[in-house]
Amino acid sequence: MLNANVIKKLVLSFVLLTISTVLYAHGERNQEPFLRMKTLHWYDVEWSVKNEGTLKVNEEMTMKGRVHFFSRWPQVISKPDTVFLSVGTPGPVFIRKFSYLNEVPMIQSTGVETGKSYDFEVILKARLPGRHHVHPMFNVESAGGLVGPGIWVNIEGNADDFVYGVETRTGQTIENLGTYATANVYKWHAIWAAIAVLWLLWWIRRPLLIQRYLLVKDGQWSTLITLTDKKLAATMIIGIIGLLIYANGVTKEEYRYTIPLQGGKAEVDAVLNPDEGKVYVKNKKAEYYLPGRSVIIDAEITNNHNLPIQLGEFTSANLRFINHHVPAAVAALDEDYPDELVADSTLVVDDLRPIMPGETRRLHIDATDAAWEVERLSSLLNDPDSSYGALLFFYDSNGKRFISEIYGQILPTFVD
Amino acid sequence: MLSKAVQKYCVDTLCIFAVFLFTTNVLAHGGATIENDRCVFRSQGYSIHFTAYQPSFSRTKELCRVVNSLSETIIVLDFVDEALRKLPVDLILKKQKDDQLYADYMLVDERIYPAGTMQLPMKKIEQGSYRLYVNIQELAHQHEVAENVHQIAGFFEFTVTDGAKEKDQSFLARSTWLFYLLALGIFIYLMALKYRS
Repeated sequence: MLNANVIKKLVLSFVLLTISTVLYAHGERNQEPFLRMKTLHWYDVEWSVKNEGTLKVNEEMTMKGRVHFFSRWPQVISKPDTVFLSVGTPGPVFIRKFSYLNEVPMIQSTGVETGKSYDFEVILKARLPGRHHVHPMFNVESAGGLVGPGIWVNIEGNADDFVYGVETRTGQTIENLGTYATANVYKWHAIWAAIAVLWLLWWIRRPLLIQRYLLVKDGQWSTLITLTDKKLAATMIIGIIGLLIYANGVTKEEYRYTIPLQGGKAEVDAVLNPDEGKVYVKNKKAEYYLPGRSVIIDAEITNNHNLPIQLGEFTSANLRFINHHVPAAVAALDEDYPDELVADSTLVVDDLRPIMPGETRRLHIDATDAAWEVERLSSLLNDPDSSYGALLFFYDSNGKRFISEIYGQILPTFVD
Repeated sequence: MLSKAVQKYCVDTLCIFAVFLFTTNVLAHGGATIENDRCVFRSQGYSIHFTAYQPSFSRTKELCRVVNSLSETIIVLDFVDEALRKLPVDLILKKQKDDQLYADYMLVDERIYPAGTMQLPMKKIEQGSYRLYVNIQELAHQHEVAENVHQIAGFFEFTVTDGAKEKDQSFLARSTWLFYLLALGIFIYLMALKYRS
């Protein structure tokens, strides 16, 4: 007969199982806007495969580009003192063969500086067939994963054909890391599982709950553990320790040259920016025109460069708004770049005249696209910290690019 | 001081209540990605997201199936499918009449929306049930949606209610949730009494 406690627990479990809904996660769209706008800005991202391109199992692809760690890093998440360069994919559909940050191998985590940029490169090998979205990603300690722009890649072939061979530093060739020494793994798992099962059977073969409860209630708990139990336990302790020593010896003999798992962090310097300070940007006012899906910014631009400049691009949260009136900006857009991340309509700048050297001008910038809503970025208006962050790309008359940060509070408006 | 059994019972019951309370947040509009948003509808195989704003009534709140007042309303449609940005689109807003049929209420001529969004401002809107039809003028032999999707013109149905009348309702009528909470509290208290006895 079930008692009330058991019934309550069953009801609670049933409720948890049935009421809890599937969380419709699509990665970056479910991240808070401030995370996507004020942390990482990815640009010049290239993939060796086209968007919706196809790879066969075992073929490789490369992702590379530059990532800027925003200077106004959100206070609510940890600073990027410990980050790890990774990829955002739906599970291990690729394996990551190599990853570099400023040409430094990123086998381990590293620390980066906010306000600085770094070149990244990741080489992947196709593993599981299917249609997968592939992003570069940084895992930030205590903050989670921050993804960059992604493309769709179709992997064809048979997953069983996947092979990942390596040559060790001692010249040994391992044909397939996926199956290397797996027999050994199964063997030792079986040995330890057998010991665990034997120990468990030893105890549950006897009457368990009610009789033991009665003995304890009568104050005879010392009879629960017999002398035989103690002898068996002592034998097992000695046996297990002996087995550990033996296993350690066998392993050392088999694998003589090993390196411990590395616990330190890789050191990497930021990309030097000789043009820092050439273009100074100050946000004066920012609004989000809700019905029009427009981010409207009043910004003061100071040109400290020796040539005239024009605003060519506004980018935030992996969305790009190109000023179609600036040829250098249009030319900088790769035709294979994912369409859904580039606004179709032009970035509207009220004054298209170049900003002359030494001039300070106020510009009215309008970035309009449904992507603000589709990417769930308009929900930043519901954040306790309703602020935005973005990069502005300027181009001089020679086509040279200058990148500046812009950030500030943003308020909703219904007035165009 | 309640006995351990009573305390345990109260904790368990509160846990069940908490599951109901917090789990519903997962079902909220903002928690779903746009593809699974209940405010998304399909027309001729293309996905479109519907939002209504009433700045003077509910400010930045995004309204969907129910629009709560007769004040100035701005309907915004966001084209989820990229292909819609290149296709001419026209709108027909129909209102349900007394005979349950829908009649034309407002028309928007055919246009291309390269930014993927369009808005339909209305200074006044009448109470009732509406259907918003989106007609997409596709080019011949050009359809970027999966072949097995039915290409029928779709509509989004929403209702406009008179929020002013709801505000005139008594405190009791507007606060029925308080009574549910009170009932639950009484239930827990009575069950605790039973366990104690």
